[in-house]
Amino acid sequence: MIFNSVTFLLFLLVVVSLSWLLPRKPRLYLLFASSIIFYGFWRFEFVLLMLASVVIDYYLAIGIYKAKTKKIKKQLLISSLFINLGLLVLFKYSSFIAFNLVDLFGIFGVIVLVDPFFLDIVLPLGISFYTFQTISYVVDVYRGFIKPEREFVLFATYVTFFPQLVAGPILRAKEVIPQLNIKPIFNIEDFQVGFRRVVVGLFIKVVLADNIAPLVDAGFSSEISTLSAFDVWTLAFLFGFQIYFDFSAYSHIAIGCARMMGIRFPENFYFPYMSFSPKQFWNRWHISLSSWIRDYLYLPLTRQKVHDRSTGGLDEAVIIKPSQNKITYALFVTWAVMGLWHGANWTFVLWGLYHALVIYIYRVILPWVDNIPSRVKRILGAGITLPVMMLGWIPFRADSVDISVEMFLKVFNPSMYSWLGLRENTYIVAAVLVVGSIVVYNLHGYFKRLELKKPSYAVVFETVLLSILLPMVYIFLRPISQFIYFQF
Amino acid sequence: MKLYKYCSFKIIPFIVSLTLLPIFLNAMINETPINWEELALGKETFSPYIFLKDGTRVYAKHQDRVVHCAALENCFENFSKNKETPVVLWLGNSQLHAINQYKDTDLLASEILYGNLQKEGYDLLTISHPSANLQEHYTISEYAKLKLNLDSVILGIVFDDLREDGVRNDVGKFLNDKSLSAALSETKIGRKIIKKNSDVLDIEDDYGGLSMTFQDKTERLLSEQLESKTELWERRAYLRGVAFNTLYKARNYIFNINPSTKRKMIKPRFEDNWNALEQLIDLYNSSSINVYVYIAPIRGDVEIPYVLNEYDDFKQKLALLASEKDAYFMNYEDLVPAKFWGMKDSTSVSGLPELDFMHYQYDGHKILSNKIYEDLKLGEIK
Repeated sequence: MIFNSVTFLLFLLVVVSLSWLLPRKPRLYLLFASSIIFYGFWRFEFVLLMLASVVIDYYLAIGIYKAKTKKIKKQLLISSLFINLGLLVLFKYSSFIAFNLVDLFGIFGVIVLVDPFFLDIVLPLGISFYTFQTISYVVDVYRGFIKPEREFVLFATYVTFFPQLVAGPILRAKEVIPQLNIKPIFNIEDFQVGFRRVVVGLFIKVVLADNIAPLVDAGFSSEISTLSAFDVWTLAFLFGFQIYFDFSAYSHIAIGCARMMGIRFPENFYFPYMSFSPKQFWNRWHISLSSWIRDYLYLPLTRQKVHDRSTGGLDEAVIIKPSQNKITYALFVTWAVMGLWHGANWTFVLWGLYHALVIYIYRVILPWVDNIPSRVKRILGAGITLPVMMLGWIPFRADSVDISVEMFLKVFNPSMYSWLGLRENTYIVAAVLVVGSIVVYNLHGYFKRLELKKPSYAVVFETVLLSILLPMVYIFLRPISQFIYFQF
Repeated sequence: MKLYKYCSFKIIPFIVSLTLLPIFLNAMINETPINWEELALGKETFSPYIFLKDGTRVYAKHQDRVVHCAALENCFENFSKNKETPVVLWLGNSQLHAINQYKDTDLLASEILYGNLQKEGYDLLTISHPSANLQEHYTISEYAKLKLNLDSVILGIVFDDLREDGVRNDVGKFLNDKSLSAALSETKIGRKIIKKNSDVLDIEDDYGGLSMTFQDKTERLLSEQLESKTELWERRAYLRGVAFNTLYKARNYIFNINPSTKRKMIKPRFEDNWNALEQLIDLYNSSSINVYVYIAPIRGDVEIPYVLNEYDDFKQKLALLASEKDAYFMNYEDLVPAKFWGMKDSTSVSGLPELDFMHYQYDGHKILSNKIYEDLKLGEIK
């Protein structure tokens, strides 16, 4: 089910109302059943696949906990990883692997054709998200961070809970299962905050993201040779804003829906484009995925102590000291995997490696800039981080690695700055978004301070905000497009 | 009591905003309805139109036949029945369907030319869209060639329209026609047009994000129910238009953009449109259909809103292309005298009237149609 639709809003109204009326056990069944219905509105046949993953991990986690020897625990963990990652590879990466093998054989003059089976594979919605969630659960049981959940419906609800099912945040069992396990006491503040988050999320999706999309699509469908370096920058910025709006909107709505039912999800975004270093950016962008990668890939690869929470992002794993081979290796491997998680295409690997390189350079230069006054460092940092991060979106959006490289090269070629190849509105929108982001960031900070110092003013502020956003959401609410992260 | 006070306090934004929502929307809806087509032209300029029985809007009709289409839907059917009569196709932008200082008795150039060509034993079908670009003309041409018994094609080219890109929905939905998409796929620019059409998010497709899902059905059902129950829901598209129009006017005001503002050529778009023009001429040449290309009239009493060297290059390039490809070339830029042009409504929040560079009065339409008629007679229509 798509959030930006009347069907979902009606569904949400019914589920939220019933969730407050029902006692603990029936409430749990309601949340589980509604999550299945939510998923089934896309394709019902894939519900079984998701449930299979839930059942397997439910039993394997109990098995790991009960196992007497470390060897058996390890075997069960490997079984779980094999099944989960196997399904992910089958549905998400098998055609990519097949086509790359065909290309590889082609280099050696061997002509092989791709079986049509690989062309017809449908990527199950949200598979990357729920797979990572179940993996984290089983690994946490193996690591002894949590005990396995014995109540099946509680565990199944944790994995399938509809607000986060399709595009996160990727939740840790420790954070959510205890909340689902109790019937919360109705609190108007939960409802009010949740409602506000849903409205803000819908506004960001249907008013901002969906209306930037045609400009981005038109730009990226242009003949690349006709684009100037200014155009490449503009498209990078515009897509950067589009994906941020699209994905953060999903997270706002997910967090808001859960909050309306008295469940608190960790934040997934916090004004990432206002960061003054790549380190800070990855503490503010898709925080739950960065934290997942940190705890289940990067820190184990560098043999460091892992965390058991979905907050902090990669920030907590960025080591501020001169590079060592093992850490550098882990950095690049982690980012390549992070890229591939987003999609089965070399463009995503290139995106990951770009960020690995940015972080590597950041680590190298950091000791040199230590003596700069912090205020200057922040301003300089913000001024450099924003364009560097935006430029990174090129391979994420471009159709191929060749096109990405061609676009990157334009940016570094002074002769490519001599014309403009896009409609004037495109540049105006990009500029307005940059300025708007700075204004909103500062307004947000002001609102937070106001809420503490003068709550009555904050209420007026919020009333004005909602009175503007609600009519806009009402007018623009249409499922004209899915959320970008649905394809991952 | 304290908890009660706290709750009431926190819920104020929720209650107030929900109360204000219908009041605000009603206030917007109760304003005078806007005709979007006229809005782009302004009150000074008007497009005469007729609604057919099925609700299709057309610009001109002769007896039972639509002779000037506003959209492609049902446009060609009126001619396919009468295949033995050779058809002249006239493609252009809003200059063909809008009249400055319109009076009820005024006729469009297309209607005048239709009457003249009928006497010569030819049919004339005119298709025009606001700011129509050459990629659209090429797409329509491929389709028209499949459907009509074409003798000649008249193509009005406005330099400004080469800043436009892709095909609008009205034309784009015809790309689903297999024979058209197959024909377009034969050329590089045709493939590009198809790709652009599929790559760019269609913001007019309300259910685009739900294709192949069960939710598609429920969403349509719920939306239809809401539309039948409340005008506030039904008129959301109109309200979106109001929102965009406000943004458009605000942009024009802030950046001081008006019809007199110099518009620079946009290189990638120009090239795509130029490639489309080349393909269009080749397409007709391959079937021995005469092509008449003309540079559209523009008002000459004030400085034109183009970068002059770019405009001069364009004119030279067009003349050269026509001669290379054996197309008839006419330069009508000075054809309509200054006194037959006018002003248009403001496109900014300032509300000040602006010069209309594109649309002339009825006399201008007469002059254009007569000139084209003469030039056609000089050509191969005899």
